[in-house]
Amino acid sequence: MVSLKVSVNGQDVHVEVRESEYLAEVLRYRLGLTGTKIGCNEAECGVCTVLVNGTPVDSCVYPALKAQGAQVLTIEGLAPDWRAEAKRRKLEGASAVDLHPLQDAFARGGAPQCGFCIPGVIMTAKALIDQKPDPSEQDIKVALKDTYCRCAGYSFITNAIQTAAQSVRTGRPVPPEPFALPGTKTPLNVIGRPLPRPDVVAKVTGEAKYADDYHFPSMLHARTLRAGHAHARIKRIDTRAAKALPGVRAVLTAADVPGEPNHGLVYADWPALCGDKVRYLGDAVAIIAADTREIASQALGLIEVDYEPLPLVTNPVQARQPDAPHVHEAGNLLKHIKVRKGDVDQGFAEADVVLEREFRTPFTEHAFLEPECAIGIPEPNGRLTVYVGSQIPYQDRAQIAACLGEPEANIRVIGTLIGGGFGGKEDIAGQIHVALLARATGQPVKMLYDRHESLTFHPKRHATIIRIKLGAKRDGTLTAVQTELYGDTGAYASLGDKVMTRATTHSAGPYNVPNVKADCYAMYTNNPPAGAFRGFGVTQSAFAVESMMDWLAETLGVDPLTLRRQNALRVGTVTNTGQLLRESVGLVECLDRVGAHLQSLTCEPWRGVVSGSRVRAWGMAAGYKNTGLGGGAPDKSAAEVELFVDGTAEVRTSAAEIGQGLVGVVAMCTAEELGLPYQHVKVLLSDTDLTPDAGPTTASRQTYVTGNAARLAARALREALATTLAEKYDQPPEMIRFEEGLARVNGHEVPLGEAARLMKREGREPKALYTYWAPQTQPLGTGGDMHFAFSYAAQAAEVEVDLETGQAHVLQLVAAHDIGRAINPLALEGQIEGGMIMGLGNALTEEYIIDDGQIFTDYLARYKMPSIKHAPKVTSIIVEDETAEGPYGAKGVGEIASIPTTPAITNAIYNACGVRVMRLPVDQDKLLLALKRGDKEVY
Amino acid sequence: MGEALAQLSEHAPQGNPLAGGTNLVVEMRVGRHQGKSMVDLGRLKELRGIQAQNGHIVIGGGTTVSELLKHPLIADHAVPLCQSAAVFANPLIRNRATVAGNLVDASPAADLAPPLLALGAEVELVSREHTRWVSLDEFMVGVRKTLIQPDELMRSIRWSKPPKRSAGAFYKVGLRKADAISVLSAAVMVACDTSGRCKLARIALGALAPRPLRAYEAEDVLQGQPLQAEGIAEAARLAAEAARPISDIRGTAEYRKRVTEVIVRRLLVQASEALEHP
Ligand SMILES: Cc1cc2nc3c(=O)[nH]c(=O)nc-3n(C[C@H](O)[C@H](O)[C@H](O)COP(=O)(O)OP(=O)(O)OC[C@H]3O[C@@H](n4cnc5c(N)ncnc54)[C@H](O)[C@@H]3O)c2cc1C
Ligand code: FES
Ligand code: FES
Repeated sequence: MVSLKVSVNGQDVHVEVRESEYLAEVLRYRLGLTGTKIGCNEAECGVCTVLVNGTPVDSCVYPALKAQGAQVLTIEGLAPDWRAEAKRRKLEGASAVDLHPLQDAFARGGAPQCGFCIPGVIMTAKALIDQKPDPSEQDIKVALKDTYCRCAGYSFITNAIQTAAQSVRTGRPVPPEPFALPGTKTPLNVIGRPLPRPDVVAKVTGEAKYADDYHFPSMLHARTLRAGHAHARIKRIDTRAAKALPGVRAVLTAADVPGEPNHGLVYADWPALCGDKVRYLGDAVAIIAADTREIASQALGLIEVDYEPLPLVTNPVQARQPDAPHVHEAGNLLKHIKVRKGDVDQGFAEADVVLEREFRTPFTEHAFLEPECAIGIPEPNGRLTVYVGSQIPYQDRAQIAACLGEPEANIRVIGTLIGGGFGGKEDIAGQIHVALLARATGQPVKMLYDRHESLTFHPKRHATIIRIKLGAKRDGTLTAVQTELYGDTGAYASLGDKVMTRATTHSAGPYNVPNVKADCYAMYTNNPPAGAFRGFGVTQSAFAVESMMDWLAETLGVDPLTLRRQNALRVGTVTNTGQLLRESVGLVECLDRVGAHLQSLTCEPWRGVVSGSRVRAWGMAAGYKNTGLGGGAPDKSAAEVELFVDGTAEVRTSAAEIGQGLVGVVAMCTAEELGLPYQHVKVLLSDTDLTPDAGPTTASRQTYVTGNAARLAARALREALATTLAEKYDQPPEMIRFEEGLARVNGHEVPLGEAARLMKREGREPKALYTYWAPQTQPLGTGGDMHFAFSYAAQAAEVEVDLETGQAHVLQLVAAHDIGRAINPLALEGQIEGGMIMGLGNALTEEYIIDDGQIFTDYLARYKMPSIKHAPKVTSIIVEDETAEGPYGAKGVGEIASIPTTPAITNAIYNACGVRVMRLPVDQDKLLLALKRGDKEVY
Repeated sequence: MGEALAQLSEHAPQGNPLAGGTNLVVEMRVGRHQGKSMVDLGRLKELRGIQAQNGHIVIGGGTTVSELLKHPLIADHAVPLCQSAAVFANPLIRNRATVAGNLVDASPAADLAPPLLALGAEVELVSREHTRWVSLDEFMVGVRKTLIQPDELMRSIRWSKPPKRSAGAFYKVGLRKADAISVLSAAVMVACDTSGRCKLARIALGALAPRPLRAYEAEDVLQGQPLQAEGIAEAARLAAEAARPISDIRGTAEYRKRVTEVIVRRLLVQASEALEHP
């Protein structure tokens, strides 16, 4: 141990540290300043940025001792630092400010989504405006080049920095609504207004707590031994040496799992710990709890495992061969999914043009900036609490209980904030392991993955091969679409069945096609598992069908937008699965609005404009995405609303906040129904003891189902209040108006707190629980309503291709989304831009590379996701074609935005240079080769 | 500095100088360099500073990439180096990454090597016993191999001030899936006499061979000729021929060769235009 003296946020600190410690670790774990986050430990992501003597550094790779004698400023010190500066500059109200202008502008401007990147982004921005008090957009792009925000609120970040810089320069406060949002319907009292999310202040001050920010007395640290073999039989495991290491408290293997050996969201096929064989590199073989993380890591190396390698299955086509090795005993087919409508043979016979092609998409990685973390705590009463940033707390509870062999009531799952999920935090990560270790040791146990482990272990987006055949009449009318899909679901099912079902049902696009036949083979392989990822299979099939639609337009010599419009789903048409659409189909309007915007920019968008060796052109695509689970799965959510005597309310539900803004949605619905000011509604999420079950946070469903649950719970409470007041003031309940935190009844203005007190006096609790059941859906193949709502989108991308290097850049995006109703335009816009930038990454940069079962992408440096440099100008248009059942007409938003972006970009590339992209991501290398060879397609 | 050198010779070959740590520490964090003892160069004044001396620009090995970007001598007398520094990693890394660290690390894709090669730089290696200057071109031997000995430090780097009527440029191709490392990079320096004939041409390539290299044959065709489209095209073609790229996950050899030609041509055109309109 060496002694380290530094000034942290203006306070002299003296701590003993190991020579090998880094500044981020000292700040977080020794000084408890958990506002500074760790995302990668490789100097790649920037979330750990702090200022050392005014210079921004990646504190994850900054040896702590280098900071000897230095001044360190972290997010926690920013507001005090500003108060001191404001005082020096004699600014008005200097001592009263709670936030630095950067924090204020980030909060008001809606920059934080999941919030995990925000401390690092703000500190980087602070260093920038110290240097450049009036930074241009370009300055910001340079300074934040590698400070990632995976929620990709880059334009919000840029706006917030410029707004804050102005406020710092002038000393004037940050304006309440710093910038303009796209037009939406006239707002109600609360609904439809761009309000900051309730958790936003915590997210800009560093107070927001993610799982690794919790610490408990006598907590142990756990690590997992991963297989390191893609397919092998386990011959022997010897843990004696590891157990003998001083400081090791428990080493567990498959034999130590008391209950169900497997977990899994749909199929229980995933061993908590592998005993007989391993099916991919990231399989867990043993878990260790020790006094420190270092000891646990050291103990990992002492476990001996003998493996007998087995032949590998590395792609879904090979997996389907009769002689392929079996990943699971029952064979490699997870599911054959079929869609049948009309008669495709007849459809193709009627067609004047038939086109057929094969497309490929790779595995991609969520790269949420917060790596997985879970903490298990044995409680004195014999129960067990698990803290985890999970998308599905109740299912976590069920799965933990099953593996422990204990009743569910024994387990409490507390959902912490989540530093990005995007579907990647639905499966079990460390939650079962910490429960097992906490039971084995009787002590709290934390399991934190490093980035390498996160990349190796968790489920990806399915890699697919999609063959598609499309028939149309000369006038453009589609007559038939036939698709065949292979989905690589990797070693375990995860949500593979559901994801590939969605890929299949959406594989003929958002069009009115009389004859459809689709077959999908979701196959097990020895690759990492594939599961949920924003877009849920539709991302992949939209790339195929939207590429084909452009090709068809070219073949027929018609405008691609007109062709889509002609065939677009609208009210009265029937989807590919046989669902009659009766309302809320805004696709045509989306197409028209995008078309009109393009026309205002250029008269021939699809034609390339050459300058030197570079060509620019626009491309477009459309898309749709279901809201909710659908397919006959019961889809329900519960929320409870309670009114307190101080006039505030709390809404409780187990839905997860993964950055999408659900906290704001439920608070707004509650405030609207009770006539309360928005700020008076608190939200409690994700606690299986305290919040009712809202089901999984997936399938863009929470705004709809939990928004409704909150709305209807609040309405039920309002009605109960009305009954009480009606009696007391002798007026019919329907005459009572609830507004501005008051009940207006018979000339009286009763504060709601008072109304709550009245209810209590009557012996009734001023709270209401509501379980909302979404409309019944039908299973695939029955031809009924497979989904209760769909969101629609049309997007266009302007791309520049360098014909001499093959590089492609996106210059701008124009998008129209029909999301029913904008509940909060600010959060909506964040979701839309973030989704589109993910779609851009999907098109141009992102690929999780696995070669023969070996993972290349096992460091963040090897996964390129869009940074602020890639973020193009976005013009967003909101279409609000309300759905009757949705809360105030709203449908899902989380996923639709990311779906059409990829094919819009690849279609633009074709329009620019005449080469069709058949495989993602666009490879500049192969694109150049194709250009040189004069090939029309690049694989 | 004396102490650092003493530590190095004592621990050799297990001693490891630690400069900005942007290679070393990041590698340590992913489990490499165990059992080595780090000799921190962080505070050594002898390794800092950018100066003009006897017709040379001399920079300390511990000069950071940010310092390069800020210094007028670099902006005036090392345009390709300045351009390379501007697109190097990101501002945080630039504050820490040093020139010596980049050169000694000897990655084939080290971004400061091509501009320094194009400037005709030499490096100064010192140990407790000796001091020696070697040209950068000789210094770099292969993938992660250089002439440096375990007991030596790179104290400084120098190059002659480019003559009047000279111009240079740097460009790197990145934006790839899989990795942030350059797919290829190139730097050029050209100087002309009063009649507009080229009297000096240096073309350097990065990530195109086991080590950054000079394209001597390409340089030769420019010598004594006016910088015009034909000559430039020929030089670019020869530069691409000099490249000996491999195919890896970042790019195929064929792509790298093709684009080398494009980039070298663009850089030479850019430099010749800068000469015409200084
Ligand atoms: C996120 C990220 C992005 C990066 N981007 C780029 C990029 O765009 N372009 C690029 O070229 N590189 C890049 N790098 C690599 C790295 O930043 C550079 O190579 C940097 O110049 C290394 O300098 P350093 O001072 O940090 O070296 P260190 O890591 O401290 O040392 C590197 C090696 O040099 C030796 N060494 C250092 N100084 C001396 C000396 N004076 N004498 C003798 N030996 C010495 C060390 O012993 C070690 O072997 C990147 C790295 C990261 C983490
Ligand atoms: S850069 Fe430090 S945690 Fe990622
Ligand atoms: S808000 Fe930036 S990563 Fe989520």
